[in-house]
Amino acid sequence: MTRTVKPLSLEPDETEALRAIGWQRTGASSCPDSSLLLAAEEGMLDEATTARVRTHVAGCATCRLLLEDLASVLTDEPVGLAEARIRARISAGTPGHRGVPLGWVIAAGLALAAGLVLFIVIPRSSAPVPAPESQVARVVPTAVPSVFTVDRPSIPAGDIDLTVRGESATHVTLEERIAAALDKSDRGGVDAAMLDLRSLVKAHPASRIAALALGAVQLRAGQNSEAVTTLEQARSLKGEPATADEAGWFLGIALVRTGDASRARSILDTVCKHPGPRSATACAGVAEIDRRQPGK
Amino acid sequence: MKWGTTPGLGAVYTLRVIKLLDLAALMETFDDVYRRHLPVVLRVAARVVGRRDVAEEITADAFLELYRQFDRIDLDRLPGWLLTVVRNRGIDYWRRQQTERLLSHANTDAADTTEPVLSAPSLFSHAALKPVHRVCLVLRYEHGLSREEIAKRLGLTDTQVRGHLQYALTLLRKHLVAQAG
Repeated sequence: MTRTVKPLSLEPDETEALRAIGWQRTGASSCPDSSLLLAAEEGMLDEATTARVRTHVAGCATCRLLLEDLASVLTDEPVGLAEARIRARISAGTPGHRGVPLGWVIAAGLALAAGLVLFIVIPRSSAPVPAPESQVARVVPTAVPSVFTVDRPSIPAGDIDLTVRGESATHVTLEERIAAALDKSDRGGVDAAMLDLRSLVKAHPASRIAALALGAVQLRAGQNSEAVTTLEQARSLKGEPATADEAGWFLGIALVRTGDASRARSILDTVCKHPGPRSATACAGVAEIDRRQPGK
Repeated sequence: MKWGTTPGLGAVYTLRVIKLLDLAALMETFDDVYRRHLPVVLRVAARVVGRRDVAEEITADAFLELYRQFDRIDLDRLPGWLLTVVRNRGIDYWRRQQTERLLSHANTDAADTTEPVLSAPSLFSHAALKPVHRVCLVLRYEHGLSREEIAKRLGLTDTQVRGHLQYALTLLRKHLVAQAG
């Protein structure tokens, strides 16, 4: 009935850093699993477990602070990437739900049917008849979940250079500035985010992550052609392989939106074949393009 | 067409079009509701289960349930209705987890047998660190979780966790050196 205390498997840089601060693993092995701390506060556990967790927390400074910090981290973290993941789960009708997966895909089908029926039924002698595609776009412009969802680009935290950060550690790194701009975009301030990111791209013309972030926000703003240019530039710059995949993924979306499906497919295929966080989604993107344009 | 007679083909099509458009409008509204209430539902779910990866599953479950009952739900009851679903899913989750096995022997008589305030944890409680740094440090080095496990629990990427740990350890060393000097 005990929580197994996991042996620490440290990498050399971690071992060195921990030795430098004189740290030794000591006490928290007796602490409950971190997820229990909040659950006990929320009344999710049975009475006996709740009492034991609370008794422990009352006497454990580490767990008291961990409880506070976890509450802060778990509730402050922006929805960001989670939005796309949750949407995908709902759309697929998973997990644990059998039967018809009622998702937004059905809405797309219904809207398409409505558009087609309107196209057929409305007399052509009356008002100009919109094409079926425009009907679909008008009825459910945002309801259709697609594999090509523009989520938040993943920007590496970057190495910390304390000689640059200074004594008070108030220096803000490029990564932090980019993250702040993306936070603005997440909160709906797409224009403000774009302004910030344009400045950053101008100030750091060799930074792939700055161009990547700007391209992603341009996509959110619907500036698809501009996004193609920015993301092509991002791909051409030097940086970590993971950021190349990020840039490739967003460029693929931009190309799909601008109608260049064959190039989008080629780029997404490259991301698909490269193991990484975007690989699965890029493969789904390739499949989606093939489904829409069989034989091409 | 007289009242009481069979409607013509045009009327039937018109009715079908209206129905289809109603359903399409319904979907649009669901999307609006989803966007509006997602942040608060996800926050509550995270508190209920104490980790972001499971919170995302529960949040998706709640919205899927809302979708299925959308035509019967009074939208004025939102987000309360969604939060109730989340809490019920949370209770189910904890029942499945058999929480007892997550507790250590020492906790059985925690107040009597453990001396929880230790020097090492206080090192990780340094005020110069942000909450996310402290959480990453404790989960990684005290609880022994891998960076991937921490990333899942906190809704971060592996790279972000690595960056937080690296930053926190470097900052701690810098402060200790300054204090020693």
